Amino acid sequence: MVLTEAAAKILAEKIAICASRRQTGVTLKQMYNFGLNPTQQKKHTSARLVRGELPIRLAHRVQELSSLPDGLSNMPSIKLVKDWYVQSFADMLKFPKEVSPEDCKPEGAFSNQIRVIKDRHDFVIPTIARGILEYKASKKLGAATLDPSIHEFLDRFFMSRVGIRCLLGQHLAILSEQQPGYVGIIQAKCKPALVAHEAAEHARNLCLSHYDDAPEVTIHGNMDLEFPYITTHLYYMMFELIKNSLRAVVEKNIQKKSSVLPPVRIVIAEGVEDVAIKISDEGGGISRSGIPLIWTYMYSTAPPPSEGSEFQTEGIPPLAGFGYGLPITRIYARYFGGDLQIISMDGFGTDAYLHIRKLGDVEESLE
Amino acid sequence: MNIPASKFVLDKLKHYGSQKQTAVTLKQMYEFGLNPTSQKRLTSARLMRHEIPIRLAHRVIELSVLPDHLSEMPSIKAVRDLYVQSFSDMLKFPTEVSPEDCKPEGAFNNQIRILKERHEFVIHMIARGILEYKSYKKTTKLLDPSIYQFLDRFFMSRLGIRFLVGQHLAILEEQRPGFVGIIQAKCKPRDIVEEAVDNARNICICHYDDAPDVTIHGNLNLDFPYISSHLYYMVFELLKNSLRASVESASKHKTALPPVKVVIAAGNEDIAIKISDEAGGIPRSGLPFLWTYMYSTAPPPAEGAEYGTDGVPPIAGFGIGLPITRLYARYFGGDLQLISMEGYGTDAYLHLRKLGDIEESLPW
Repeated sequence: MVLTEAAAKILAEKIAICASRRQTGVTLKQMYNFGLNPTQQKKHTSARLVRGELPIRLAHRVQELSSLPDGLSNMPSIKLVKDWYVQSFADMLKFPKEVSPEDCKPEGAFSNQIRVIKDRHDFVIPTIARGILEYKASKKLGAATLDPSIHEFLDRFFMSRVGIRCLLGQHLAILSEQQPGYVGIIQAKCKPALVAHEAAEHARNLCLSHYDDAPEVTIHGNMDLEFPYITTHLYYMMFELIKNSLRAVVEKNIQKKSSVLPPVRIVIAEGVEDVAIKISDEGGGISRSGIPLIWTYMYSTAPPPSEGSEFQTEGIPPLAGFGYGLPITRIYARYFGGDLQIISMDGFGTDAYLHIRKLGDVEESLE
Repeated sequence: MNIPASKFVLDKLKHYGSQKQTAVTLKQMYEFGLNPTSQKRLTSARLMRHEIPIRLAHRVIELSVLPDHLSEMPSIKAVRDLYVQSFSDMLKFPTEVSPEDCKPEGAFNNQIRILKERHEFVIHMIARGILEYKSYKKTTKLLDPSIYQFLDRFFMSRLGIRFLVGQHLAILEEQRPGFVGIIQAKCKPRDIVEEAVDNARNICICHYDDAPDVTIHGNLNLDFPYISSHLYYMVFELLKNSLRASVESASKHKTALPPVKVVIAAGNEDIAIKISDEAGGIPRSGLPFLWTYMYSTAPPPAEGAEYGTDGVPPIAGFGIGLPITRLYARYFGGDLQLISMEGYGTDAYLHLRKLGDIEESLPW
């Protein structure tokens, strides 16, 4: 973005003001209730809420991206991401706080701007990942793990991104014709057994195209359970965990030259507070001392996927990537008060436990 | 420090209390205890004479300076007096204990036996002291975290002292086949689990007239050097919890008893044992309380009941089983983790260091 010096200064001041304001968390329940039967009036209110909240959230991230420790802010890809955030911030300011009803129509200028912003930020995660690689290269860090402060930044940053995308996604979804059974992006009766089945099918296909083999996935427990949730989030999490389990099982059996693949087992449970999903494999597990590393970003010592492959442009999407899958999955789980825990028995297998708040009454995690 | 003891003993307490405790590894204890000669037994006794007073003195000092009047509770004072008594008993022997006193039935070793018996019920006395403290504070709520930290430290230290003492006394005797002191050279988790299953099921049947089946899977041939009595304690405690929860859940929901499943695995660093039940689990928000000593809101067992004197030993006690089990696991670098799926069941994971090369955990 090319700005005159004066314009840049004004923008910087506005960013500073917005960054000093408090972000406002919402609960899944609020989003759900608000999105029910969206009238013209509701859509207008939603737009004004987005106009109020989005610049604040963007500004917080711009500030953070500008003040990262140890020269990280100067990495080209980090700067690129910051420019996107600044651009989106500036785009929002083009509209008055009381966005006009005209601009708020489904195809109005404001709504289209939100679409542009959402698309612009599509590849933030791989771009940040690239920035971290640039940083590692500039510091000649090799396979060494990063400073905890950088992990904390990544957790915070990606958590904020999930929140922003949820907000934008929900706003755009209630502008359009509602999908049956959905309130915006929230499915009224999200059925974990069904999501598990779909994620397992997809992950198995991927595993088959990489290894010509994939273990069975069996689903047990409360097969009829339904609860309101963002199904795409649940799918993302389950797909990631199943993919890891399938890969572990196949690779262990290649090592052992065994031809019988033990199935991956999924158990679905309903409690009073939570829905819990366990994904168990007999893929040999990892040692207890290795567990903290699975939560670190880019611990993978494998070479990073080639430029562009993270965008899935090469036919088969990668089965193992930047080493972001698990930490990001945990962020999705924690976003509305859930959690992801992994316990492994070295020499046997690994259990992943996804806990998700059932009532949707926990505010999104903002920092 | 308001300790009823002579100036001589008080001075010595200060002196020993300021010295560093020395940690050992399971491997060291194992290697030292192989083929015990008279010379080795003498060395072992002198090591006891050196180390035990230091460890006791550390605890006496801590028991005297607990926060918020906890030190003044009658049962806490009683425990402190036991520690002072055992400390004074050690001082009766010179640091170079005589070979005569160090014979298997010599004066020093008999003193060690007395010490071990004297401290047998310390855990329950401390538990009683915490109950006294709670009624003194008129609270049934969670206590200050510093008190739970004290309990962890105190019980961990007790475990270490009893391990040293137990190992010393065991190498005085004829060695049990396959054992070096109390360390079993080829401790086989499958055998331990089977024994614990039998006993836990019996207790469960005594209380409920029914008990779920327990199936054992995974690496059934695995063996490794470990203190089999510790492993038994841990597995028994976890099984007892799973059996009880299974029976209670099945009777509440009028369903068939789901079996409890045990998996044994051998990794490079650890051996791991998972105990899984389908007893309905507990909510995520309740999990931290499992690790809290004596949080149970149920009335505590009657005086004496914890000693199993009324025929049937209690299946649920003071609410100290799980935290103590975790201390056993952590003592030589292992761990105990619990994850529950509310509405389904609970998985307990016991990880134990396979190589025994981790120093015992020594609270200051």
